[in-house]
Amino acid sequence: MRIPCPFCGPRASEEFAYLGDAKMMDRPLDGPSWEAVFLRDNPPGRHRELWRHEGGCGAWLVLERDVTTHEIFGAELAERALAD
Amino acid sequence: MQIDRLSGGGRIDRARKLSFRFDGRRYEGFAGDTLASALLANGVRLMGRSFKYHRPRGPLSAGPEEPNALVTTGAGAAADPNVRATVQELYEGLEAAPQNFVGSLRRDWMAVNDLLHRFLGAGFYYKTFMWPSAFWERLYEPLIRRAAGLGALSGAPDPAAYEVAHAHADLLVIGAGPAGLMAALTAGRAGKRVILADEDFALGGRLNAESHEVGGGAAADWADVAAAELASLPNVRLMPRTTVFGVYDGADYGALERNTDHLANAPKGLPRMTLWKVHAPRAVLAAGAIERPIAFGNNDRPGIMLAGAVRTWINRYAVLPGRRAVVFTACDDGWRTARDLRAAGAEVVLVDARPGAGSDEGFRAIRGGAVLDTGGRLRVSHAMLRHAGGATDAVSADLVAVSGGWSPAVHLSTHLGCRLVWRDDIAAFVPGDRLPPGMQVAGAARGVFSTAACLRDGAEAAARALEIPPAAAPEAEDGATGVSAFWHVKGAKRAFLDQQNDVSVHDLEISVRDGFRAPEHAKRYTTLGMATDQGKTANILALGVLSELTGKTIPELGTTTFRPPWTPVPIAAFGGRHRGKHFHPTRLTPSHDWAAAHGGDFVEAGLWLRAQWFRAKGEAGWRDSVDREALAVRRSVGVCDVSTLGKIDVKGPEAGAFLDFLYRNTISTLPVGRCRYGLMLREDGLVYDDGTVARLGPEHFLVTTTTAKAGEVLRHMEFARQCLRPARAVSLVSVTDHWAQYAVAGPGARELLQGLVAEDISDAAFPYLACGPVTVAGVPGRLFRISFSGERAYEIAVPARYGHDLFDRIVKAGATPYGVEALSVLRIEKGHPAGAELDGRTSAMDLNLGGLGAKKAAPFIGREMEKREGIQDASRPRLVGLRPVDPKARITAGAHLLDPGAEARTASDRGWVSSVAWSPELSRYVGLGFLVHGAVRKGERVRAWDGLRGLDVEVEVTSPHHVDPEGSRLRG
Amino acid sequence: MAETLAPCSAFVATLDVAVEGARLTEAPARTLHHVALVADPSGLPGPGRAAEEGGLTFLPLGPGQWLAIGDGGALAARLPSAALTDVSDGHVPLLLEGPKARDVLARLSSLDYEAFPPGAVARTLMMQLAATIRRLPDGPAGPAYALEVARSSARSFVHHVEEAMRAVAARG
Repeated sequence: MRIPCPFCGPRASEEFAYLGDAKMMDRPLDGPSWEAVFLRDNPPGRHRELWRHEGGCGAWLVLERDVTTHEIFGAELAERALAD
Repeated sequence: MQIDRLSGGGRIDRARKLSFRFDGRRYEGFAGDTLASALLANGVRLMGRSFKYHRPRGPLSAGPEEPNALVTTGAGAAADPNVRATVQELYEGLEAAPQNFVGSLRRDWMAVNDLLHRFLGAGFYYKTFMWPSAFWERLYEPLIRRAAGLGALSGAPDPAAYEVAHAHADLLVIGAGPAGLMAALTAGRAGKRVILADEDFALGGRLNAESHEVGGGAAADWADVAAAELASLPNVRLMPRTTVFGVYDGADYGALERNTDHLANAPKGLPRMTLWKVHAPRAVLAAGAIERPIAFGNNDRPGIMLAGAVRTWINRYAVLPGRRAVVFTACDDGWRTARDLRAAGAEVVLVDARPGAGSDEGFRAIRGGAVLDTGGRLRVSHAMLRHAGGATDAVSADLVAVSGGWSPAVHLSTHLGCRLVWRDDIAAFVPGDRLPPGMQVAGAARGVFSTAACLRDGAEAAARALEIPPAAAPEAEDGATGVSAFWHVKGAKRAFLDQQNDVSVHDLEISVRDGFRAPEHAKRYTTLGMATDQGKTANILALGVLSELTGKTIPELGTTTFRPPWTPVPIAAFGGRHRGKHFHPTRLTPSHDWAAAHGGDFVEAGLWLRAQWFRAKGEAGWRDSVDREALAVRRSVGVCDVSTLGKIDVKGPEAGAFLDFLYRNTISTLPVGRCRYGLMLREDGLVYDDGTVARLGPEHFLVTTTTAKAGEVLRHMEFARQCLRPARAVSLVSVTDHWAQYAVAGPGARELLQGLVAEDISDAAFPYLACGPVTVAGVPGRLFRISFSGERAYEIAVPARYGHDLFDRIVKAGATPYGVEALSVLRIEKGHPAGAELDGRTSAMDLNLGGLGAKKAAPFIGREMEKREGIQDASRPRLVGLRPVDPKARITAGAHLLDPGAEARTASDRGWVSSVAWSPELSRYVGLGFLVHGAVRKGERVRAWDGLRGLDVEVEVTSPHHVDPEGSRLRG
Repeated sequence: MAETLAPCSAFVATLDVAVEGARLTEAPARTLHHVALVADPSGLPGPGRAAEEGGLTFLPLGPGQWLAIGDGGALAARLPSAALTDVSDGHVPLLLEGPKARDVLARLSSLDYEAFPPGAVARTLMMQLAATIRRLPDGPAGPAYALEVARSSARSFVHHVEEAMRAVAARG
């Protein structure tokens, strides 16, 4: 699998570490609720996922990917995604 | 004597004679031969024994789809089992041995299984060997397991080296037959980066096996010219002996290149195989097609071969596989074999299952007929034929060439979920929609069979893929390729479908009768298609038979799923260089060489090598060293390399606010020049990691983590910085490797260090928990007054290039070097929680650290979730110290804590022992553990119960601080 | 006071491995700083390419982060308000050069080195280790690449480079 890092360009997936659903970014700084920590939707389709380019620039990315077809629709820096 | 070698023709090099051994006998062949072609040339037909019935077998095919001719090559540790003799290139001195017999290949005692075949059909092990039940484990299963399998591994570690390498191309062409060569020429001439890969050692595919003309000359000659042109283009990489075995997401392909299996002496340093990871946004799958046989009675004897393979033996290898041939075909292609056999001087009787097929060609042809059965033990000797009217006839035959048609080699196209489409006109599956992104399929792989059509198709596929003009295809035959679906001769006995796993038509009948009717079920019930050849010559044939047995059409049945790899790939090839010592990288501390030269015994701590202890002269066991080192720290001074702990440099105007969010306790109030213990929680409120935070400037902090969690914590902090954004202006840099850092601990620590450090480090100038830049023997470094051991201690840091010399100086100044074992003993004596206590199940309160940051107002990770009832519960096990009541008794980490008199049951469990050490200071074992209501049970007695080691020891509950509970040694 | 601490290399012996077509050496000592929190990054290079300025070389590492090679004082003067962290000893500088250098790199890393001209920079995984690679101008020996690899795992890394070099040379 190739992940399109916005900074480094497309790179092999081995360079990245996966964390989980991008919804983890939408939590109050005060602390997430029990549901936010332990419950996760898992639809058979497009996901927005958090990956870190650990073997490269170290940036956290939000990657949009269809988990059934494996098609990747793009990635943006998490820092930028938050700004929106 | 090469009795079956034709005197002329072939693509072998008659100037280079090679000698080799098979089954204990010496033979000769030529360069360009495979082991199988050379054996056939020498009149050898028997090359193996079948899996279950031990029937005599010879090669069915001439290529990688071979089910029968599996041999073991090489000797000793390099012995390689299940090598296909039809793929193994011949080299001088090759040694090969047949497999799967008891006694000899010609007289295999296990052939008794064939006599018992009625009891050994599909699924027999589900219906037999049931009684007595005890015999299953002790007798039946071991016997069956011993009998199973074909070749045997050497049992010794593989002496060969393997590597993984990466390649990039604009176009990957898979297969160098007519379609593949034209695709490569099209792209290569247009200046594109092309990789052309073929499993074979010679490029050309079927062009090397046919007697056609291409471009006005021999097909194989045209292939040579095309290959030479491609070799001359700098933008084209030719990769023979390379099997593209898998298609992966992201336009990635896996390919296995065999570098040395064809060489008598491999060049030093050349790995046996290279596993290529090829990235190619466009690809042309030109993998050709695989011929399928027809199932008839005893259709597996040596000398019964695929018709296309017979042409390969004659045309490519100049071998005549038989002089009295029967050709049994259901397609036009079989007639080509009859012609080539006649031209080579053989007598031919052709049986075509189709009533109106072919024309008169000067050999006996029976239309609308079938081969019913064959005879001959170690080689076919005669065939029983049936004519259209029903009359039968026996003919003498030393060769039966069979063609049921050709199945496009579609496998790679389906690795990413492409659906196959059944075409009745060619009785074959071709790739449908949802091909892997960027892939085109060309030639026989998509059901295009004439040579001219394949040449054109390959050029057009590359042209479409890259949007360039197609190369002009040479003139070639464009003959009809009619075929009728004819799977098996009904009523025939011992009609084999999967020859490698000995699966017959009768087995499929059993499967359907027993209810396993779908291909996925029938496959697993009969094991058809599950051998090392993955059923390449059997799968479609079996589907045809299954279709007739179930009354469902082939499209209704579908196929089983094809998954990588296309042919077997050694696991060592996937591992490449990552094996043994190099399975993962090794990280060395700055004092490593010093430790290695001074008795250090190392232990793996993650990727690091750390000295566990330093063996002094005369010390017999590790306890001698560890006890000595721990005592030396408490009595005098010791030095330990703690460089492995994660060190993260945090800078910026909002650094303090950022760290307040990461830690449970407040960091922003830390004065410059001071350190503080920091506790990090997980988002679920339990403890994640601990360390120290040192403030080196108003906007400059240095955070340490445990060794194990260094990478994770940086990732976690970066997640907070980039994704949760409690603060914007903060920079995080790992400096773990930049600094050599040593703990210098003991009553003599200050005096020793003052001898190396230029600045005043008296207690007044540098109190407990002070930190700051210092000059260490002329070099800028840092000093931190923190203690893990409970003694007066410091950590001194210099840039790593000075680490070796500094360690040496500190030892020469009188410090005893100590390793991680003594480090552990000291911290357990002191009652310092470490990894065993911070195991992901414990909270700050459990660790008696509930007061740390208790009054903090600012939000931090884990705060809300820590408030959950289950974590606030006062009856949770609490950190305590434990001491055996009997000073000579031993306690063990992992033991459960029980009340006196309680039964050892889960309901009575009151906690556990987390860390234990022999304390040289107190001359007894001491431990740390977690005990329900531990805070109020000091002085009471409980039991440490270890069911695994059979210990049940009375212990006293104490403070975790076994040594120096007031902390006076720390602060002096 | 004792004499000044003596520095030592990350390697046991001087690193100089040469095979037919490729050579690996330890590059000369240099000062290396991590640069972040730059108020005005307009003068610093964007992703993928190095830039030289007044004796300093800047390599882009990630969004808002660079490695700077060169004198720390000059760096502090050039970027007075940035967060600068000395990482000179956290990495070891290596030089891989020769006509077969790309074939060696193909065995270490999945980047496309045909599309990696002089001046290009990347941070990527090589044999499971993060490394920074920069292509220098072609030298007399052919293509040349400067690598910075973590000091603690440098020996493991060099072992793999040597094996890759031998494998490439053995192909002839």
